[in-house]
Amino acid sequence: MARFLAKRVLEAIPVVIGITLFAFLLIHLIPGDPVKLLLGPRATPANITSLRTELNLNRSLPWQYVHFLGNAASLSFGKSITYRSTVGSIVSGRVEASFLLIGYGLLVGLIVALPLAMLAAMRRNRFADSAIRMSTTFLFAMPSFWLGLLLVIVFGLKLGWFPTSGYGSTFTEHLRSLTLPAITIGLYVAPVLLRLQRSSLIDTLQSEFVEATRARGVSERRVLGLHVTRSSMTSTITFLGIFAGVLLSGAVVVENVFSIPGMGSLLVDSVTQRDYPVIQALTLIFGLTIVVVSILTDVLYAVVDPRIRL
Amino acid sequence: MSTVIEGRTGTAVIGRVGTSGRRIAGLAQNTLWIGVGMLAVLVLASLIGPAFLPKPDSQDLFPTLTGPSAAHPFGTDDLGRDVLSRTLSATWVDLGIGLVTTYVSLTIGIVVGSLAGYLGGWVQRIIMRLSDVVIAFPFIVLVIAIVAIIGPGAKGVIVGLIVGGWAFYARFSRAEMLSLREKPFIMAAQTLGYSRRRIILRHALPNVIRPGVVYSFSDVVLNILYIAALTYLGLGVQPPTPEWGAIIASGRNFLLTAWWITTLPGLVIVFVGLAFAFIGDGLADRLRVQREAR
Repeated sequence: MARFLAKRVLEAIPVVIGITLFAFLLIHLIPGDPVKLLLGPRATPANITSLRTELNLNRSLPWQYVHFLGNAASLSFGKSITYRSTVGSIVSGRVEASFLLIGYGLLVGLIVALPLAMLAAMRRNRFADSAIRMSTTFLFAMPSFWLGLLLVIVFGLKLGWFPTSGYGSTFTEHLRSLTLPAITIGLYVAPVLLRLQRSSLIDTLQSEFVEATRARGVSERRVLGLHVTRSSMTSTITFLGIFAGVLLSGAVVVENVFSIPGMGSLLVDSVTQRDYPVIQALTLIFGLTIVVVSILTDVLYAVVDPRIRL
Repeated sequence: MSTVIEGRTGTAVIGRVGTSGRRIAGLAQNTLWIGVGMLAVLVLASLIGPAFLPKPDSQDLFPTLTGPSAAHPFGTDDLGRDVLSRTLSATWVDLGIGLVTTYVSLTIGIVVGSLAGYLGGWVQRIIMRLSDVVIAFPFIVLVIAIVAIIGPGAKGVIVGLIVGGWAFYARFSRAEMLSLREKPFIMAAQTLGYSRRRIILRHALPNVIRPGVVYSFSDVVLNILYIAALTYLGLGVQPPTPEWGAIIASGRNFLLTAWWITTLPGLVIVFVGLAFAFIGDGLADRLRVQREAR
């Protein structure tokens, strides 16, 4: 297992280098002089020189990259342009809301998708299956921000059950505020989850061990609820890395719709305000999160299915 | 068997599982034509509609924020502009950007991926590492980062969607090419002494393109959704150009008093999305794309 893990981490190194290089180059790829852009038209030459020195822009590119890597490793990304405090402190204040939202959203997605996938797989090519299939296509075509706004109109404004934006200050308030956003994310990821799980269930239902389990006299409920579900989950796990990308993408949009103080709304605000140090840090964090998730996925898969480690 | 193609937003499971019987095959053919028909309706409406409706940017400040009526089927916005007219004229912006970004990505991806698969060696290593990095980012984060470099606007979104979009096509074209290289008909072409160029272009590429084209229809939907989302966030197409996301965003302050500005244009996006999804589904069944991408 340790060797498998080491191999997987080594394989990820070129990707990590690529991600850091992209985040680093972000500021250098801007057409024109980034410093003049950051300071605006009223900048004095003295200001320009001092910011240039602060950002180390007068050093060589390789030096700057190594410096950037060193800083990133110690989680220091310099100072934000708009907030005048360190990027690290701004970003870390935003992590909790994002992860709570993603976790909650994933939960909603699973609750919606798993039972429907089971139903679709059992009634394959019959009415229930077609109806479920049709609704996943419908959900797939729906813009997530629009769906969020519909939920706001109905459950926030008309019925007044949930807050329409914000995050609250206590944990219960967080959960209440995050309910509509989480439903939005849940319905956004449900089609992907449902289709994957349905086809994996169908494969499992056709395998011999299911017949064997039935022949042993195990009740149908137990066969489906335990044996089939567990076995079909292993192939769904493989897609967890890509799935994390979908979830994060969904969160970026949904956080903005509901004004949730997470990393996604910070990213969009930073782009509008041209706060490049924050954009660099967030690009790096989002990219590395996916890399870590996909390593964890492989490890999880290897734990569930020992054949992988051979 | 269904075809699971790993796409950038997860997977598109193409084709029905265990399609059997004439009834389902007939339905599959129908979805293709239903999709084409829906698309035709929208394109026709955006061509003919303006003749019957007020101009998309003509303001009529007296009856602002009026609900749907015979004169204004989607109502009017806070500046008294006709929402249906704006929605229809945005069709060209959204559909255009959606199609261009998808098919430029597809072309780049298939060419680059096929070369990687056929040539192998360092070409393949560089291309695959690059695509690994692209795929490592949550898609929208990569696009937003590109917008940060280029600046908010249509150009930033278009470049961003292409930078993020090619990688998926490259990966699966490479995989396809690797398996094609071992097929007897390619070996025969090599034995006959055909040039590398001819083998790639005339013999291998047509076999790589087909599954890519089938998948591309869901990509068009995704790209349109991304354009609308990024414009909604203020990073995409800039005002006053009518764009679906922008129109929906303009209704944000009137959700309770003028729900139609936000809700009705969204229905048009769903309509287009369904049209392309149907076309993709129908084509997948027709072309019987049957391969496992993993």
